[in-house]
Amino acid sequence: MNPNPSAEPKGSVLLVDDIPENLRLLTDILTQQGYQVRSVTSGAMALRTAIAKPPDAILLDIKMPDMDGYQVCESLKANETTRDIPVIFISALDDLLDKVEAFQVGGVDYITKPFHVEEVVARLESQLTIQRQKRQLQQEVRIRRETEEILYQSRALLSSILNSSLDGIAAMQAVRDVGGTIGDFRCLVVNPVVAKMLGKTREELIGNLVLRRLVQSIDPDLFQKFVNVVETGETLESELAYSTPEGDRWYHYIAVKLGDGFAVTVRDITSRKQIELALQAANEKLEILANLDGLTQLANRRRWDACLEQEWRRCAREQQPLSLLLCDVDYFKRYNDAYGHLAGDDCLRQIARAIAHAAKRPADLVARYGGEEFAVLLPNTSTAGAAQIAENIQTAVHNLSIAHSQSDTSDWVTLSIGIATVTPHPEGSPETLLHEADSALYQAKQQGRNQTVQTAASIVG
Amino acid sequence: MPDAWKAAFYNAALEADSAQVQGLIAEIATSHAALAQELSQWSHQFRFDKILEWVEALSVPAASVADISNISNISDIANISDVEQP
Repeated sequence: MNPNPSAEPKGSVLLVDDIPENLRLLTDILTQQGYQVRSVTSGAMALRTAIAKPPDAILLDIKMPDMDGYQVCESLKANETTRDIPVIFISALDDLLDKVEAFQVGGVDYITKPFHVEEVVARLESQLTIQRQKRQLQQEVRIRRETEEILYQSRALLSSILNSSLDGIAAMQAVRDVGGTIGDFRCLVVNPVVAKMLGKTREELIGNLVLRRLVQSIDPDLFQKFVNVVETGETLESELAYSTPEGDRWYHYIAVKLGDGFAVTVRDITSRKQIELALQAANEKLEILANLDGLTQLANRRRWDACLEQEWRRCAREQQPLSLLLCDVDYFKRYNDAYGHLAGDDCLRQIARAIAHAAKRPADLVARYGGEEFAVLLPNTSTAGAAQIAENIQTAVHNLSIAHSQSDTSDWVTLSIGIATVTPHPEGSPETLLHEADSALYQAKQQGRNQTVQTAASIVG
Repeated sequence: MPDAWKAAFYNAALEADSAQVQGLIAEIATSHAALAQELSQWSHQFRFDKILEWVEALSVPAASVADISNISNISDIANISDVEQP
């Protein structure tokens, strides 16, 4: 408002006196002293102007027609806008009763005529000073109330967040021994979720040195990890799992240094973890199913191809012999026609089991290669070893004694087997080995079936 | 008088602001010399109550019987330059 702060007016004063000459005198004096002066000649006008624009102080003549000073003062004190304006009475009357009444109606001081200018200024100035200090105090009280309100609201907000959060939230303060080493942490803030996780009430936790003991049972290294967060300032984000009587629980947590301590947020990820584990198990099962032959539960062609490639490379690297057996059920089409498809399936299952039983070293692989064709991969197996396994297979199938009335070679179900063995060359292909075995199988069939043929070329790599 | 002047004049009188009141009277000193002199006298006498009354009468024509009587009274005063001091 004021363009020049150094010339700031001392304060605004309202003068009320029914004699204009008195007003003129005092108006001029006080204006010279630097006050903003407004003057009116009646109590009614004094009230109107004081409400319209409240002055800092009012100098009020007691003896006026219509409405005397006491009445004006009472009205001022009764009004919300004007009640705090200090009123100084001025009167020629100097008797005790008047002074008492002046104070009773709310006046703060009393000046008698005739007066010295210095006295008026001094009394006015002291009231204005009080008024200014009062206003300053009110301002400070208001600011303090506002601050308290903000503080209260932020506390309420914090507490509401802590109480309603689905995550566990806690704040811990380091408790150090004389050497400065962190011996434990004091719980400053613990929300209901954390309390529930730890199986305690918040009252049991807050303010107490219980963290070290509590985390010991969850993860023996966890306490040291928290100490590291405080000592290095590095945020720790990790997962932990621990068993409870209700089952395994998984948690994801973030610990952040906070003063000489840390704040930690914990989220229960048990259900997510359970889904992940179920998914993992399902994937593993799918992986198995994708590699299995549904009828015989042997490896299927997909798995066979992958294994053959792999074992070929490994044996080439290690310069080890790799043997391959192709087994074909003799006159199987006739068997199906004679006994039906169900019996045919059952026959294949029995033979599959017999072959698998004969080639059961960990590295051996038995697969269903085609309709009634089985393939056996024998890593690190020489021609002699392969011949032995083929013989074992023949014996096992023979022992199954599955009747086959339509076979030209036997009364029972029999196998023709072709064997090929090679020490693979790194540049070579497993196709050659397959081709060799197939030729041997063809030869076995040509020679009347129910026999094993081992190719002469097998010894070649 | 323009409404803006009346509003400013009323407000200055209500706040018992002598300087403001004098300033506004000066604005009409040539156009309404007699009236300006009268108003100026009231201002020097700190009779802002009278000034308010006068503006109120101007602003609220025929609002009520009381106001009508007021107006005639005030316009009389305004038209006569040498009115006796109250």
